[in-house]
Amino acid sequence: MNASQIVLKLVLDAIAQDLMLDTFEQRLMIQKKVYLTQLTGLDLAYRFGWYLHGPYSTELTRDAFRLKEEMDLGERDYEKEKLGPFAYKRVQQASKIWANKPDGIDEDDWLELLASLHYLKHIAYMGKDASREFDDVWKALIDSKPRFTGRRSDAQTAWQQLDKVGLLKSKVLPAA
Amino acid sequence: MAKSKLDEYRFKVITDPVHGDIGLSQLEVDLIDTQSFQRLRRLKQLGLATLVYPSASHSRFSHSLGVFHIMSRAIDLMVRRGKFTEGERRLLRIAALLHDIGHYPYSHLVETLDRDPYRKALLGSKRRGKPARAYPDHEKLSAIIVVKRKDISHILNDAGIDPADIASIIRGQHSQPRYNQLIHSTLDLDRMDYLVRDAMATGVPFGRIDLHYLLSNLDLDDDDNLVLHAKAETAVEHFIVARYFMSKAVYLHKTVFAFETLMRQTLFMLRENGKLWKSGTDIEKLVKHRTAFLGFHDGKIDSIVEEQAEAQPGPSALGRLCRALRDRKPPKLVGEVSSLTQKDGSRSEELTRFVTRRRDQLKAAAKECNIPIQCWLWEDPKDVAFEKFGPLMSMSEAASVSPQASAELVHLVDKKGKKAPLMEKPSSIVHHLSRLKLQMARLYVVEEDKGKIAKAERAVKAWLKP
Repeated sequence: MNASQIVLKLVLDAIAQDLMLDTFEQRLMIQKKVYLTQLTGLDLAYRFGWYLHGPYSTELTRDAFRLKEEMDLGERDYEKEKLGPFAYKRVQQASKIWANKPDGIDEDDWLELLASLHYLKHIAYMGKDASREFDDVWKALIDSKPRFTGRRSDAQTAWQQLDKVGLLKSKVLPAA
Repeated sequence: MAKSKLDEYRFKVITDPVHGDIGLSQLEVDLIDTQSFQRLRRLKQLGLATLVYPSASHSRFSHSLGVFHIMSRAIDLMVRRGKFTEGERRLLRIAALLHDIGHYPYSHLVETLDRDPYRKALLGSKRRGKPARAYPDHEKLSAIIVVKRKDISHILNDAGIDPADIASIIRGQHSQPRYNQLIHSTLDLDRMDYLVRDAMATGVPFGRIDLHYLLSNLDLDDDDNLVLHAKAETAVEHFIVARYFMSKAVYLHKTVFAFETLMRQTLFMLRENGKLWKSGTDIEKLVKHRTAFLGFHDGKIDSIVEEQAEAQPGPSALGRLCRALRDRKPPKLVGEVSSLTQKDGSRSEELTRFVTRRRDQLKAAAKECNIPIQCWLWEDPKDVAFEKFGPLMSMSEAASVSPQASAELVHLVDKKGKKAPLMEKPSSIVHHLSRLKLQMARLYVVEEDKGKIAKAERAVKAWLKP
């Protein structure tokens, strides 16, 4: 296992996310949870591009599959390691980002909305004069993800959640 | 007579040994002529491979133009199909041209300096307090250069192009996913250039793929992914297998890799001794600096190494490493295990033993052989797979892994327009090879005393016994 795979395993454990890769939804949840975890200020060095299902990191996919493979072979290098105090403190903040999921929204959709809205608000290029307020972001979202077209209210709820934890005003979580 | 669009992209023609004529617009020529772009001439594409293959000193500059040319052909295809407008063609060609402008001196050797967990643990670190920011990836540096360096950004602004627009495509962060998809392409266009260019420069024949046939069979699927016509199947099989052979013969060559791992260890120690950029913050500052950035090339690293080869006291480990690099004294390989492994089988027992014991017993062996721990080089080459995801999952899993990850596989499209990953075709050699990967673990020492080398070889041999 290399350093990034070990750290990935420690972080997934800390956010109580199993390393399940069998279905597309499971893989999407890992992608989005790691993206959102990095917003706590813990930089795991995964760089996310903007694709049809929102923020996506090729390196994370690669590390997750390699990690799974190594674990299936009985490798347990991560057992000797633990997150440092800075990382541990930051990662504890992560779950509050995806808290307050409303009933009626699947967890993978909720994570995709939170991650995608944040990405469009703070990272993606949307034109020189884009205001990046909800209406602009919503338009960009359904441009690339038509399947969300009828779900503006879900997106508004996710937007409010980002606001509540401070991720509209700031790109990363304010220090606790 | 009015000039056609094609004339616009042939304002200047550069002759390239791999692709022949590469046509450029005036705007593209202006960008190439900037100091920031010309820096790429001073980065060797194959880094230290030139110490083994003397003619392999071609630059990132020529490789960048090669990749630009291949991408421009893919973009032409998109425009012809009405998928992109003329304005988008202009934008995407520039993104393709500039997407590698942020490469580090000795590229990945410097960029990935922070990624080995054992180096810090074994060599110790003088750094205290909060960990320094890791070096940013080269795509981030490319984006900073495009937006912040005036030689580039002024040209773009004058042409009515927002530098941030180009930077976001380079980083795969544009709100139009199809732009990101093209530049971070599904079919590895970067590899199409480097295999041929590296084969020509090294004299090794394995990378001589049928590039022109591959390019003339490029196509697009309904989701704007690049695919190849089925009739190019043999050419694409050769393309996939060529990388495996080039990896064995050049990229992971015993002595090339020895110098690379020696360089990485040396750089790590130089940084610990305050002779190299301390953190990612330092690198970002340097990249924005008007003149200092122009010296951010292989020669800068070479001069630091040469200076320290003299400045460090004779017996110091850092001095020995610097002199080995300067004087081309290859580290000695004292142990190696390699294994071509089936995806479904477990890793070879010998490889597992070697890696585990090397990790647990290296310090003791160093003491026993009286060779400083800093003079042992234990980095492993990356696994070599035939397809990106092939060895990790079954065929059906691979196809459904995710739209993005699945797109990284090579897809063929038949006459009826039906698309399928090449690795799912049982008659293709890739179907069988994609289950395999080559794994290697090595250990070198920087030592000239034959007695000590023999002792090290014996110690390592003992690790391999069950």
